[in-house]
This record gives sequence, structure tokens and C-alpha cells, in this order.
Amino acid sequence: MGLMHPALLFVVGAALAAVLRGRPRQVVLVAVPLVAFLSVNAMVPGTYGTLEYLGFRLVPAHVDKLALVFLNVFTLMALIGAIYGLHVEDTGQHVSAMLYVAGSLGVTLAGDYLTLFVWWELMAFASAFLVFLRRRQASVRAGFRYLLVHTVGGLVLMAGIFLKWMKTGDLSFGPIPADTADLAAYLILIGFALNAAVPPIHAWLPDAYPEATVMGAVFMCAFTTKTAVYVLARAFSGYEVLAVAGAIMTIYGVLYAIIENDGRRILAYHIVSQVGYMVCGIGIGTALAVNGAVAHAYAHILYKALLFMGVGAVLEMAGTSKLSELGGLYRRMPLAMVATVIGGISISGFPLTSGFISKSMVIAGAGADHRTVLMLMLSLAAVGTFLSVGVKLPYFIWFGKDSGRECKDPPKNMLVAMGIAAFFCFFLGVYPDYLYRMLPFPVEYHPYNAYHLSETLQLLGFTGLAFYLLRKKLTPEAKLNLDLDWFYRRATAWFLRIDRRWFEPANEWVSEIYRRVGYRFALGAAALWSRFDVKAIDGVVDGSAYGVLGLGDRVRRAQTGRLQQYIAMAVAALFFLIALVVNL
Amino acid sequence: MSSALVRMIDRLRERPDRLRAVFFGLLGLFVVYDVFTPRHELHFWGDRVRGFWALFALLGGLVMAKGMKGLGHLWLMKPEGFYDREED
Repeated sequence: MGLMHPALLFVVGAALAAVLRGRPRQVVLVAVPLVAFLSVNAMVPGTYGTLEYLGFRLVPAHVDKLALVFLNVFTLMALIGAIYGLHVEDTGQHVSAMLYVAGSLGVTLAGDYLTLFVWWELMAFASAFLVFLRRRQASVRAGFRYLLVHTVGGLVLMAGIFLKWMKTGDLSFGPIPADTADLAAYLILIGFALNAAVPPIHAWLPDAYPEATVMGAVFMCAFTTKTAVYVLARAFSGYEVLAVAGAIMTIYGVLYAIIENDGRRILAYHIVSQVGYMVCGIGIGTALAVNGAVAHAYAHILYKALLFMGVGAVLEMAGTSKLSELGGLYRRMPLAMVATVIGGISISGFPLTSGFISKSMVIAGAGADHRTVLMLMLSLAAVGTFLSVGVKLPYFIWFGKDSGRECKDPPKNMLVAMGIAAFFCFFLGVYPDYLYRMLPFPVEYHPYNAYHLSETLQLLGFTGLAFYLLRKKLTPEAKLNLDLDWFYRRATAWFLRIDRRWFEPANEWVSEIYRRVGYRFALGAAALWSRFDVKAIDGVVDGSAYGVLGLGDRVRRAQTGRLQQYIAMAVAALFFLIALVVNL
Repeated sequence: MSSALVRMIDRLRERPDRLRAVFFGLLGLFVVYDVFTPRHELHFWGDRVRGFWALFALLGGLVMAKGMKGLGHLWLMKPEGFYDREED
């Protein structure tokens, strides 16, 4: 049985989106992800269309339970994102978004590293355009930083793939047991970890996502990091370094979210935090923890997209996403408010929402594996999540002091997209079996038990109390917060400064010396060479020529035209040669 | 529907004392509920302590918020155009 590769469907969709306009294009934008979603749900596990190319065995489509759950949520998210962006006229954004999704689906289905790498790079380049196309100076700069960082990550990944090929001659993409991991494996791991925004290689995310277009950020928040989670889950399950790094990520992200001012940057830092739960679960590596990581990826894509859609709507309708310039918008944008509040309570893990049935699975995985420190770190991050996204973000956008900004709820298509994502937040929370059935391992976890409920209510309630006590101190400030992007943003500036101060004058100095000394020396040397050329070289060459001419003249005179003389000379020469050979 | 929602929020904001009372009442209820909640799977000592997660959340929230704000003012927070000067 064949398989319709969903990535190719999106590539065709991108071509159609480039040439069509108006209603036909809108039909394509919705039809492509819808058909992809339906086809993914009908997929049967197996390996499809293996081919040999330049001595490599390529596997463009390998389907199993792990791939299927990610394909399911990716295509669902593509549909939601397409509906959200239906009103956008900018062709470039639609084409980029389609190619970006194609890259993500291509990676998810790839059964070998070469196929994976091609789709991986398509993702990086297509998504960079979702940043560029906001067409602000800050966006173009952030887009280039994003592209450069991902290019470096891609090179590290490629180095790992080459090393693996040289060592094993095998490029199949599958689990690499932790006890057999070598340099090649760790290079591949770093390449993947960069896309998962694992600190210290995370700063590209909060740098670029808030600078993307409104529609672009909705797509970006879903695909890059979660595709990285998928590849980590496939290849690096059970790596201790991921368990620790993931737990650190969860705290790191929320700490920055607490002090950030820009709504979309708060959400970007929260991606770092939430992806931390997934990375940690993969690192722990037990069936419960990996199931938790995958379930959390599924739930996270939907509620984080909902939050990005809500805050994106604020940016589009009110003209800013900075909390210090917002406040009191619940009267003017009540439906967008409902959407972001649902996203906020879902990410915080309120009972009956998707976060409650997914995040707790990872924490339970850490607890069941007796990883107390990791478990407490993940729980502390849950406190920070509710503090920053569950309370601070909605409070300072929708309530707080009225900013007086004139705005209204966004267009219908944006509200419909938010409605679908909000529906899934509750649907998964109320009916977790829908998600649990898709997970890679059999699930024996029951989130709705009395103690988990009690633990959650205490965590949420008393985090709310902490916010109530510190609400004035938490008032957003119009500031930029230093992060590790400082190293490459400042380092480049310093390099330019050092260049201007030291290298440029040194270059001038050398040029001056050349002008004054080197130039004259060169002229003098050239004159000397010219004389040598005329006198010595030409003399030798001309002398040889005259010699040849004289010899030719003498030979010409020796040619008498008398045959008997030629024969006599030939016989004499023959005797001379015979004598020479005999004597030797 | 949206106007009804707005009216409801307006009404709630006009009664902050009642809101506060409900909020603190709920917090008390959560702790009382925890006292009577059976523990089947204990992962560490904190699971045995009644109200542990309430204290954990309150202290964790306060320390993270105050700590990060302090660190922000001390070091991390810079003017919004901090990088622009170098990048021009």
C-alpha cells in the first residue's frame, strides 16, 4: 500500500499559494492541512518508498506510533494556523508557512539522516522568512541572527551525520543507546538540542519569535522546538544530560518570563520552559516519562498556539504587545481575552485542561523514577508558569490599569482559529484517552486522582497568593533583559569596534608603508628587471637566435645538390656510428 | 455574549472585598481538602506533609518573583535600545 507524503502536499500547497489570490488561495490554505490531517489519521505504520541514491539508502517515509502522534498534532496545528492567517494578504508569509510545515512533516517521517537533514534545513530557511516578512529593521536583524544560529546548528548536525557515516556506513535514523554514544552521536544531539532551545543554545528563540509576523509566530511556536523534541525522543531517549538540561530549562524559561515586558517574548521564554518538561521526560527515558513528554508536546502545541494567537491579536488590533503599554482591554477585546485566559489556565495545568493531563505525567515520571530533585524543579517551574503566564500576562493586558487604547476583537477567522485551539485545550483535559491512545507506550496513568487534584489546587492557589502579595512589584517595566544572545550580539559589536580601532589603522599603516617604501622598491626592482631582461635575457635569446641562423646558413652551404656527396657523407656517418658502438 | 461577560467582570471589579474573601476562602478550603486527602503513592517526604504544596508554591513564587526582579534591577535589565547602538 502506498503513502501520500504530507510534506509533498504542503510543497504543492506552497506553489499554489504563490500563484493564486483571493478566495481560491484561501481554499488551498485550508484544504491542504485538512487533507494532510485526514491522510495522517489514515496512515498505517510501516516503511514506504525506500530508494538508493549515490550509494545511500534513503527512507523518505517511516511511520510508527511516535511519528503518528506528532504528525497528527502538526497537521492539526497547520490547519489552525492557516485559518488564523486567512485574512493575511502577504503571499510570502503563506508560502513560507507552507514550506515550514512541509519541512517539519518531512523530518517527522524521515527514516534516514540525509532525508532528515534536507527537510531540517528547509524548516530553518522557511521559518526565517516568517521573521523577515514583518519588515521592520529589528525583525530583519533578528531574522539574520536566527538564520545564522540555525546554520551553525545545521553544520554541527551535518558533522555528526558525516562522522556516523564514516564510522558505521549507516545513515538510518533510529535510537542511539546512551552507552554506545560517541562523538558523532553527541554532535547530532547538539544539533537537535539547538532547535529544542536547550540553554545555553536557546537565546535565538526569545530573540526571534517576538519579532516574527503575527501569523508567523503562531506557526513558529509550534513546529521548530516540537520537531526537535520528536527527533530527541526517537534517537536520544534515556540520556541523563537531557534529563538535567530539561529540568534547568523549565526553571530558566519561567524566571525570564517573570521579568519580561513583551507579551510575545514572555510566551517565547515559556516555550523554553515547557519544552524543558519534554526534554526532561525524554532524558529520564522511562515509558511513563517519554509518554509524558510526547503528551505534553501535543498539549503544548495547542495551548501555546492559542496564547500566541491571543497576544498576536492584541498586537494586531492594539498595536503593541508590551505589557507596560497595555491594560484594561477586556472591555474592547473580550473574546480574545477568553482565548488567552483559556491558554493561560491550560499551560498552568488547571484541572479539566490539557496541561493537567500532560505536564503531570512528566512530573509523575520523574517521581516514579525516584528523581526527587528533578521532580521538585519541574513543580517549581509549574509555579513560575502560573505566576507569569497564568496571572501576570492576562492581568496586565486585560485588567490592571486601563491603557485607553482603542481596539476591538480581531477578525472572525482569527477568533475561529482560537476557538478550535481552546476547544482542544478542554477536550484533552476532559477526555485524556483521546491523546493517551496515540502515545508510543501503553498508558497506565490516571491524572484525576484525589492527591494530584489536591497538589494542583494548592500549587495554583498559593501561586495566586504570591502574585497578589507582589502584584505591584511585578508591574512590567519597559526594559530589555540580558540573555546569552549578549555573547554574539555584543561580541560582533566588539569585533567591529576592535576592527575600527586596531585593524583598520593597522591596515592603513601597512598601506602607507607600501605606498612610500614598497611602491618605490617595486618601481626600482621593475627597472632593474627591465634592464636585466634587455641585456641578459634578450642577449641570450637573441644570441641563440643568431647562432641558429649562422648554423642554418652553414648547413645551407653544405647542401651542394650532388647526390654522390650526400651518399659519401651518409656512409661516413654510418661508419662513425658503427665505430662508436663497437668501441663502447 | 461578550457584553454579558464584560458586565460580569465590571461587577466583580466593583466588589474587590468580596472577591478577596472568596479567594482566601478557597485557599483555606484547598489546605483543608489536602488534610483529608489520602496518599497512595509517596514519591518523597514532602508528600506526607499536609499543605506542603501550598507552602512550596507560596515560597517558590515569592522567591522567584523577588529574586528575579532584584537580579533584573541589579544586572539583567537594560534600556530597550541597548543593542541598537552597537548594531547600527
